Amino acid sequence: MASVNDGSQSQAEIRWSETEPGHVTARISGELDIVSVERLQGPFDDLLAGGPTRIDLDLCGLAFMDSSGLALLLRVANQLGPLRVYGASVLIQRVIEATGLTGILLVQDAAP
Amino acid sequence: MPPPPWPTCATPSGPTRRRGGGPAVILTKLGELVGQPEDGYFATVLCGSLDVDCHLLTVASAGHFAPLVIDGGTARYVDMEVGPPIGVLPQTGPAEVTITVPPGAALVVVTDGLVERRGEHLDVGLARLAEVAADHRGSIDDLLGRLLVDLAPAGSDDDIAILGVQWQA
Repeated sequence: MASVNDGSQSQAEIRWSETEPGHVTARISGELDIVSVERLQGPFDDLLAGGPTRIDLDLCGLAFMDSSGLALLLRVANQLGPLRVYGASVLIQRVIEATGLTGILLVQDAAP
Repeated sequence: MPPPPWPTCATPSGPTRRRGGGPAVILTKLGELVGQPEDGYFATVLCGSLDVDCHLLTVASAGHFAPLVIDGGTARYVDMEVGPPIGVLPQTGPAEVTITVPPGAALVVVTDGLVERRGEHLDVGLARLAEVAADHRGSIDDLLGRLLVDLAPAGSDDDIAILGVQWQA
């Protein structure tokens, strides 16, 4: 788990748990922009260092994501292949769609 | 279909006639060249080819917003498929589309820094851009200046790029 709070700046947090061996569900909440993403690189290193074979993303607490946030998620997808994305708001879904990433960040309707 | 009200060209340079391929082929080759950086960095690219004599624009998108076509008090986005950005594999090869751009019409392409706002649907920002552009009377230079003044979010640290092209009749 890691938390970012720069006072007036954006905040983001990631928590994850292993639901079965090698299979991790990561929950990202807050706002993913250039400031908060920089601070989440370390926690993402920790997450990937565990050698998961599959990571599902739970974005139900994510209010904003710009291209920096997409790059963070793509870093994971580049390693593990397309990712299932749960709980994305219509705002977040539109960002994924507008960037042509629906084949890499697979938006799911159901809960994780 | 009636002929367009401007001089037509005899040999339109369609995608298949162009040496080396059109925008979709260029984007696919670029994507293969760049591959997939480990850090997840990517670039959105809009690649277009203008046939000035024939008033044709052929365009393909790797993760980028479609161009806005401004003509006679209206503004609409080109209806097109958006492929994955450069730096993301597999490069599926975005589909390209060719549209006619009438004399005097203008094209505007922007990056997300101009239209994206926290807590707002992307389409609201895109509609705001189209509204300001449709309302504009004057040169393309004036329009680009106005878009920055009217639309650039105060205090944003995101970069903004705007490209404008206008046909001089």
